[in-house]
Amino acid sequence: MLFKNTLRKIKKSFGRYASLIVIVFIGTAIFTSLQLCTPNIKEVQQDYYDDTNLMDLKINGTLGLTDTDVNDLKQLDQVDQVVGSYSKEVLDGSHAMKVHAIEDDINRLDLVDGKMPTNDEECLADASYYQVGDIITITEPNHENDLKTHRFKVTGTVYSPLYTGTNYGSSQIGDGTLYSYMFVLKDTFQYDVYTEIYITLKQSSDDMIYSSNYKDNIEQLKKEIEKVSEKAEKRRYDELTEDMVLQLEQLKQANQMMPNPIYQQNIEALESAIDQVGESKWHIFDRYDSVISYKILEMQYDEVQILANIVPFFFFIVVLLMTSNTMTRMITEERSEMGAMTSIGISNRRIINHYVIYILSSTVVGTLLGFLFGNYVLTPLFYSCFPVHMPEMHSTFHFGLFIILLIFVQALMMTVTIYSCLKVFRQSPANLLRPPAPKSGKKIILEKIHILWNHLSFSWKITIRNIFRYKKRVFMTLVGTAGCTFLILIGFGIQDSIEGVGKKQYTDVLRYENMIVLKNNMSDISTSLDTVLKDQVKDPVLLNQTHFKVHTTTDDMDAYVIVPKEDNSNFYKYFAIKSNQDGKTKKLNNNQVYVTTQIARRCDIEAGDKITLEDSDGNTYQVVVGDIIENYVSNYIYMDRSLYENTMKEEWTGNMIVSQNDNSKKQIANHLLDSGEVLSVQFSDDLLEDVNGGISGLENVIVVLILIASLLAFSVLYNLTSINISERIREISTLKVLGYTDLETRRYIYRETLIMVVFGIALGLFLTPFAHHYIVNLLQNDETLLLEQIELSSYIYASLITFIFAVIMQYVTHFKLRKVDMIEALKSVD
Amino acid sequence: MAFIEFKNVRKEYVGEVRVLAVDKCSFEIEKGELVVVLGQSGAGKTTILNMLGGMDFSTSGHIVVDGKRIDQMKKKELVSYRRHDIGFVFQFYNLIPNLTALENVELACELCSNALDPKVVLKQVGLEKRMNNFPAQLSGGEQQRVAIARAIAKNPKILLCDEPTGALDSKTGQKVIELLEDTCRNMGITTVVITHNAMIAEIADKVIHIKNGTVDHIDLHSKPKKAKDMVW
Repeated sequence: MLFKNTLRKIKKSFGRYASLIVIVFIGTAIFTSLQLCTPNIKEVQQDYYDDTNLMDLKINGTLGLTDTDVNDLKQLDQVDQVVGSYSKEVLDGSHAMKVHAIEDDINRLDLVDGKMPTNDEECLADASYYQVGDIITITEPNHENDLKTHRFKVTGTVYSPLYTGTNYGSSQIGDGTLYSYMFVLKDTFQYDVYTEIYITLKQSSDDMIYSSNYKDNIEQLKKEIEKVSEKAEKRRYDELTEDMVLQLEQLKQANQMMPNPIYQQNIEALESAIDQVGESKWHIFDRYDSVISYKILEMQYDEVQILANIVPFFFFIVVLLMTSNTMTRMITEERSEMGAMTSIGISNRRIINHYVIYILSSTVVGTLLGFLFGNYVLTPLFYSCFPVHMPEMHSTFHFGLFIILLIFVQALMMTVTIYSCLKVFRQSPANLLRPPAPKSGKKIILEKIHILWNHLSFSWKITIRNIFRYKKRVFMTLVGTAGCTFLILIGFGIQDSIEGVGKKQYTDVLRYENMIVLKNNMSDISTSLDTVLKDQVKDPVLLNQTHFKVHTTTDDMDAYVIVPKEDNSNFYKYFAIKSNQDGKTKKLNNNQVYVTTQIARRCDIEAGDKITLEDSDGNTYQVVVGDIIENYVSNYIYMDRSLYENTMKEEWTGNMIVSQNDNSKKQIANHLLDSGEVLSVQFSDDLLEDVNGGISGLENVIVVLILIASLLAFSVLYNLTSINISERIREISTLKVLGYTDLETRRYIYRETLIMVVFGIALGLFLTPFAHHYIVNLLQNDETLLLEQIELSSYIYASLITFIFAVIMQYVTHFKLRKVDMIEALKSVD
Repeated sequence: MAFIEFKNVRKEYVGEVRVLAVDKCSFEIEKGELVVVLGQSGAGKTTILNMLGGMDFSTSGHIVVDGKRIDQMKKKELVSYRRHDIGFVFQFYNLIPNLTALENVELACELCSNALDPKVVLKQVGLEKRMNNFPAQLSGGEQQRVAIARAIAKNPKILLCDEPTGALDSKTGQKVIELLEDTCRNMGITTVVITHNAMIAEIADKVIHIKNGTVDHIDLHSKPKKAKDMVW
């Protein structure tokens, strides 16, 4: 019978039942989507890499790689597959693109359209830029001839797992940016040695991408490979020079016995030929270095995960407050019914049960729908915001999470309901049958301040008193709007923190316009290089930038040591070496170095401390820290040339030049790279764009945040305003009967809400910086220091958006208010 | 022409079931009269009062108040009509719980330009000492006095009272009726009281008997009883 009563109750007050479902739905959907976003996308990425059998490591050798190398690597324990392959950077017009060899077993391609090539004149091309049937004509740099043909017909378009992102990184030719890629048959390459070797790891199921387990395995394998590499490097070098060395020795012997200028000439020629072979060196790259977007995705996962940890907390508070409000109200409204039931002799437990059924049925429905919506609609939506080329997402139903969530929500709801019921049952049944004593009006403290109170207009007095009267509702409005403001501001704030970094770094801290990496170290800008630079760049500064490991007692991390040839005005023009403490520019001197903020923070360094630098050969040097200086991206240590020479015990040579542009970027790049003296050119504004491009996914995160915030604002404000109206229906009706116009009535009811909205916004604005500080600290890694400041404009946007939401909501409920039937309301006793 | 005129008024509620609440209802009320509308519950008294007070629309017929056709007014005009011309008193006082007695009256006074001084009106209804009390701190009779004060402070042309004594005991009820009588006689406000209590009818100048949604008959008292002399 009671069950029937419940069913009928649901039917009768379907609006309330539905609103319970909606509240739980929104809360669950947001919680689920944020929680599952990262794991689901990671799963797609993992599956994609598994399906395409993406390499774990790549080895490049300066002198090429041989089948012997491949066989040696295969002997290693942890190695699964070892594949020798080819690639080459070429130019399509002036754009750099990379040609790879098609591999069947590793880095398998995702054929979007068309078919595989069958001969040397066909190719597969990047599906983002090419279509089947396109003709690609390429030129090799330096008139090299490593490919059989230079004109290809696109027979199919592909996505490659090596290029997961939309930004392909840098190239050594053209203007320094890699624009696209293509794949040709292995035979099309005319190399007699491999340019690279791809290696996959023997994997266990624990080796999820980005897991520490995976990282450890990679590091271990790298170490093992390094053991192999030493031998291999020497072998390759000997292989190339063997004949020449032999010949040289013979010639030398001959020359000794019978000196001859022709011998001497040949000896010199051979010696320089051997020199030409150059150093034999292996470079080992993992996915972080060689898979586009691998690193960016990890950062974005972290960002989303942090949101996932903070945002749902709000929603649980809100869901809890709203459902408890709804249930309390329902139970209060039905107190006479409850009184009647107890007076008949129905046990309290059964009465409670019938309310519990009511709320549980609604929350089960809400949780299930919310979970499904979050998992199958919102998560793929987040996914589509990620700038990656990966297969579509097929979300799986995470049963475990669902059950946990269900139990949690149900327990919460039951507690709320039982608590509200028990509160009612504390009164005697007879008391329950009578209407509740009206809440008496009360003078508020403010009224005691006569001067102030008497100056308030009448309607303001009412508003203020009402605010003090409906404390719970006021509190919820505060929480709702503060939460809404908070979410929006945190979104904008994170954007400010990250976007500002690139700008600060490349306009305030590093003020050069380009960085030219030289092929050969030099102690002074050579005359030949000077001619190359002329009319291309202005005010060049030669410097040495070398990678070191910084050791302290607490930690160690990577940093670049920058040593200029001389610390002239141009150097200080390009590098702002500003102390964190007083913002004053520091001059390099021969007994101290300056370290950047991130190093100091991580390693807990203060001015005057000693740090140890370790070079790539394992030699260590001690230096004294002069001061900590401002810097945002990467880690630098600035050192004076004489200090460098004294510490490292070696002659200083420069390996790069920084300067200002004196020509168009394209011209500079082409000219310098063509010269043969320069390894690469990087432009600061490209770097800035890269930094900003890397966070374009962030904008979507902010859109999502604003969406969530608006849902929050709408659901809270709608619910509160409608409860406000239904609770105060007599009051509203009285006003209407007295002749209040719709506008006046609305003002009377809404003013207090709007005031609370304003306070809520203020509270949100006040609280956000604390959370923002926390989030920013979580987000920044060894490489980047984020700004902790939120821009004024963000504060303004966040407040405005929240306020607009509140106003919109008032308009929606306005229609409800107009429908209030004053006669009905006034006739009944409630 | 009379001050208030009902001519062939009909009110039909159209919902799931069509209900004919009032039909062929005609009567006239003169300015300054104290009128009692008498009838059993469900007879249609309240519907008539609502239409007269501009809270409900009639289906057909003429309703004229002080020369204006109420039945033809738009929603906005009705608001203004309620605001300036009508004072309402209900069975359940409908005071705003969060306002003191004085403030409840002030609330109404804010609406019209020719309102009376709220304090004077409250003194008139005998509540000068309880002005700063909240409704919950007042007895039922006192609350109804505040409601009456609120209605008359607007200085309305018509005072409409729907079962003003319905929730009060007889002694308190009598005091309230006395107050209404005084208001009508001293201030000259046309007063219409709805009740099912025939006793109250004795003090009226005119008694309109309602039965089954229409006027059964109208009694005129040339010398109505004083409320003081009523025997409950």
